[in-house]
Amino acid sequence: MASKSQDTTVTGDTSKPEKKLITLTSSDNVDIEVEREVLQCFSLIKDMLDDLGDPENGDTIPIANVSARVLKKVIEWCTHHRNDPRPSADDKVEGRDETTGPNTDRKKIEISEWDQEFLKVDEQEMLFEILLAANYLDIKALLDLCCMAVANIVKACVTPEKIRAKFGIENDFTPEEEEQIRRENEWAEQPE
Amino acid sequence: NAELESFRRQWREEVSRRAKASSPGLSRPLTGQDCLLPTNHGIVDGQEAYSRDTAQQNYREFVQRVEHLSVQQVDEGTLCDVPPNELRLPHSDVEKEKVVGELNESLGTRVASPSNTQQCDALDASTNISGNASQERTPLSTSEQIASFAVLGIPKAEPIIENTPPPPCPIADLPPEVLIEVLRHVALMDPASFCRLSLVCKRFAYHFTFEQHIWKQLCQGWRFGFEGMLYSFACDIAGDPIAKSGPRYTPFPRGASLQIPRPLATWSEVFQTFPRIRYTGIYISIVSYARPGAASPTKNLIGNSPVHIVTYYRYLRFYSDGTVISLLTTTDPMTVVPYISKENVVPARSLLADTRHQHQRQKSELNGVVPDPAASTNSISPSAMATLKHALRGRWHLTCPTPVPDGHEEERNSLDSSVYAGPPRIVSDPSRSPDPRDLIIETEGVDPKYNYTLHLSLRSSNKSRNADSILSKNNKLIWKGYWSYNKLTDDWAEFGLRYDRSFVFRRVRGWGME
Repeated sequence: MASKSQDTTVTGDTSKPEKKLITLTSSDNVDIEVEREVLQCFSLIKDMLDDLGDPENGDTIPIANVSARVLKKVIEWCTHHRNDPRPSADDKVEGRDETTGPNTDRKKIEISEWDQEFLKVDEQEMLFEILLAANYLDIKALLDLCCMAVANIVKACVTPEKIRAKFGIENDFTPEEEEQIRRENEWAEQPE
Repeated sequence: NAELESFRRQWREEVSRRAKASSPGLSRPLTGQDCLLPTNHGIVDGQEAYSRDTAQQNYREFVQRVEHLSVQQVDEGTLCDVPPNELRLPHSDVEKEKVVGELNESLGTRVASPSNTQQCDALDASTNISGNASQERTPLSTSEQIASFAVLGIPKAEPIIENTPPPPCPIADLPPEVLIEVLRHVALMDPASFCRLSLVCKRFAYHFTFEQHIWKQLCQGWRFGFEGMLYSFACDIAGDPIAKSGPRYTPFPRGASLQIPRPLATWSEVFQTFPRIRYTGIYISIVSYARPGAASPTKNLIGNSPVHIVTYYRYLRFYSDGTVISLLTTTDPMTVVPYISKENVVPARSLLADTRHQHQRQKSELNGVVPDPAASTNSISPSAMATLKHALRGRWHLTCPTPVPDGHEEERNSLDSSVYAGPPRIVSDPSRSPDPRDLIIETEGVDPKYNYTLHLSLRSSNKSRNADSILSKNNKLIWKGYWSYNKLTDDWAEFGLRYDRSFVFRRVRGWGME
């Protein structure tokens, strides 16, 4: 099952390469052990390991921008998705949703049941923290998932007021400006 | 009086030139610092007054994209240094600043070269303001104003109860590139939600207008964009796909360097105005006509001959696979629209086939037969089901906006053949250049020996609810022709269009989103 990760395991590790553990240190100084294979999702770390080789025994990799709570969530997600097909080089960052063929991008918009469950976090902050962590650790699929979750929240709000309330945003338009912008952008809002 | 008028004009020009020269802040580029100044109501008020004064036509151009403004409104010669249509939207910050600077200047020249007294008055107002308070500027156009929102943060809401922590606003702490990524997902999921976001706060309004790559992606997209448009029939009338070897024609293919079709200037304009069929709702044509009824038996009442108002509806629901459902009925939208779908039409029509079969056996009339409600699919109301069984299957395509390029031979052939197979009037004029707004629909006939051909054309509605508003585009289908074709005798017959009102698009929640 770990065939794709073995060729990138750098050092000549003789004992069970798929179980090799690497320790990460979160921003709040908590050490978390992760299977080497799961780290393949973390493009940031993966590139680093590919370049520098695995850390010596006892060394940890500091993750400066991510707290232990969030890091655990991210690892949980990566562990579940470790066997997903990796995005290939030609799978461009731009337009993941819409660049693929007519039949595939129809499915892309759906969030799998496991992911939905995964994203049922208590507070919105957690969702955004995962989003930021995914961005920092360069985990494209998780970033897309979080963006889609946020987009779904936006979509569920039928008025700008509801969006403001949902995300804790203050209205900084004057009534005149708001009316002007509304007029300017009205065409995009298809009549209900 | 005319002399006085021209003197006044000259004098004002003079004044404004001096005012401009003496206060360079007037046409200073918008920098980050400027944007942090409190938004002064003078600007907005001035602009409001201005817009009320000017004719509607002027106003619309005024609020439209700046390039139009500079091309059409500014007196010739005053703006030679800004080539028309070349005011690209800024990409880098430096460029942004430069363009904004140019815009300010062009606006300055525009106001300073008044062509009518109303503009003079507006000028009066603005020069007075700038005379009194040096930080006031000339009124900003909408897009300049939006450009000035670039550096603003997302404002966090105040605490609901004093001295309690405010509601969390994690979205405000996203770095710009991540925020844009979120916005991109919103736009690709539902452009209407993206629009709603633009009304939430200034920062979002800025991204809505200036993240043109999102619009480009939408244009190229399949779900809402032009990749999902069909420029030749993709299936037969029953909905079975036509096998095609080559790639389908699309006006904005991916991976190629693309030119924005003139006279449009931005991708958001392309998305807005380029002919496009929407899959997220239904096109409805409502026709009401009066029919004199029989004389009332109660002759004592006033007006003893009643008039019946008959209302009927035509519904069109388009699918991106090239099929379309056409339904002509007296059933009102509330009752039937939520159920108009291919999934429901199939069982409804099989009901029709059943009843027809039954009644052929019983040698009785088909008309007016209501199927047994118990037989209809459970969740759908019987009345909707009874209506849906009259739905006609069909296929559609838009007219190819450009001559079909090389490498799309098959496409060209199929286009030709579809035109050839068309009714006499469409065929008769091959020299006429194709109108990309035109839409051809072929449906089954009520009687199996007929096919119907509808020739429609996309237009924008001119609802007069708000005279100033920029109108919703491509939400209307006008009639150009309607024919029936007798498959047995190879005859075309034209339907009169006397009662045929335009179709207007209505969005239906959930459609086109799956």
